[in-house]
Amino acid sequence: MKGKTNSAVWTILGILAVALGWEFAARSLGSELILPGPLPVARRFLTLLTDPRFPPAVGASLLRVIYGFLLALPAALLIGVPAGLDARARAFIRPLFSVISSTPVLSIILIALLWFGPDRVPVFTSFLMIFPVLTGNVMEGVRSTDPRLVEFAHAYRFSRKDLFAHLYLPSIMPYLLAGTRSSLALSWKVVVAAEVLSQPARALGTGMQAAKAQLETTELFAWTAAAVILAATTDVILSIIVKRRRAHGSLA
Amino acid sequence: MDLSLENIDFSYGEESLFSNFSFTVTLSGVHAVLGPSGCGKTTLLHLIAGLRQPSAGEIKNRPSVGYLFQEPRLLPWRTVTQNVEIPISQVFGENEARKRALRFLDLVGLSGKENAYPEKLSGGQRQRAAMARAFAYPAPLILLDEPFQSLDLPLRLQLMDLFKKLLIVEPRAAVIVTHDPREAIYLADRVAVLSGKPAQVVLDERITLSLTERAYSSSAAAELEATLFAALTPAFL
Repeated sequence: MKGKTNSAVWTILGILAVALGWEFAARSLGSELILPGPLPVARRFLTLLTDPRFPPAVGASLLRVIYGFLLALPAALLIGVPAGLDARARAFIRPLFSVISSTPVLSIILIALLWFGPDRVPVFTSFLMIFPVLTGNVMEGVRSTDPRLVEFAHAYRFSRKDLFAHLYLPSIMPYLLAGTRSSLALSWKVVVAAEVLSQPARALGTGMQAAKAQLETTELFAWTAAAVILAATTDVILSIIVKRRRAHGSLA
Repeated sequence: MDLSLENIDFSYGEESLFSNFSFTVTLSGVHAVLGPSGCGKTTLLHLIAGLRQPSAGEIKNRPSVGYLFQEPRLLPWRTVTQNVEIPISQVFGENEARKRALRFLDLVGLSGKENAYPEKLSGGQRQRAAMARAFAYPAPLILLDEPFQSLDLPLRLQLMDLFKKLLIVEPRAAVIVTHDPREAIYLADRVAVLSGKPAQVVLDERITLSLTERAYSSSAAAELEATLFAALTPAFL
């Protein structure tokens, strides 16, 4: 308990240090147009909360993050399980994954703009970026499955369905949760970037782009703060889920 | 119909474990296979269970099997009851499987632990749960791969007695592999001694001792043990 309080104190000190550094830099520059200080940004953020554009923008961006994840998850299971089981399947998918993960995000966004409407570009881009991450985690989970348990399951003639439900899925679960955490963090960044370029009617990225176009730097920072807070909240919620599962001793 | 391995060849890479090996198991009584470490005892069970295929020869009348491994091999993310229930749920309906699982957990003395996860059980309790799982599985044959070896002697005797009790309540055939002649004498009706690489049966005896004569302190058992040990010794050298 003492260690916990201690680390909380240091976290608060860390936040204060960042805020102080930020305030110091803003004062030295002396221009709100280039770098507004933390207090004006905080005030603008609070007024943004009552802005009629804000709640729909948050909802729509959140939904895009969720849709991207919901598309990527089944695809990752579908590809990751066979790839985890069989070296040939791993070799087969490797080229595709290398191409996806070395393509610049902006290229994907620009290509997606040619193919889809503004609402779908962020979802598609986030799907494409997190799909390899999740698949990699599923693959690792399958490969980490205890071979002695696999042998037991074969001796007792488990059906494919039971093998998956009672053996592979629980083995994959911790890896999948870790993958979900890193995917969602990545997804927030990608979704907002794609929104800035594709300009859907309701979006955090659209708000940022509008603020930037009007040289409203403080507002741009306030929108950014919203994106950071949302991403951090998703991460905290997931980390609580991970901890709970561990505390219960059962991972599925 | 007897289970029979006929002229089996099997090797790991260059190392030949079985060459033209034949072995018959009647589907009644307890058959012990005694041999030094690494002579292919575990592989023999794998072949019988269908976990490995011989490169030549034939295995006839292979039944479905219950399997007790050296370690309990319980699913850590499922409760004790679910661990017994899951393998049999493919054979029985859901209710029937649950009832059967609970009955066998009761038989092995794990009443009260039904909803516990394996990590909350002692080593002996986990092996009991594995035993419940093996016996609950509706197979005419149970394979045992030295499941009592890692336990201390009192616990080992307890679990071997439990195994004998279960065989009376739920009769079926068993093949137990072990490197301990005493264990073979205590449990089996027949003992086959294997020599190593490639494996050959060097002695195949029926054990006709009474239950009391099989006890660890009995002199009749000591005599048989000496015979088995003599057959084993060349394999050790």
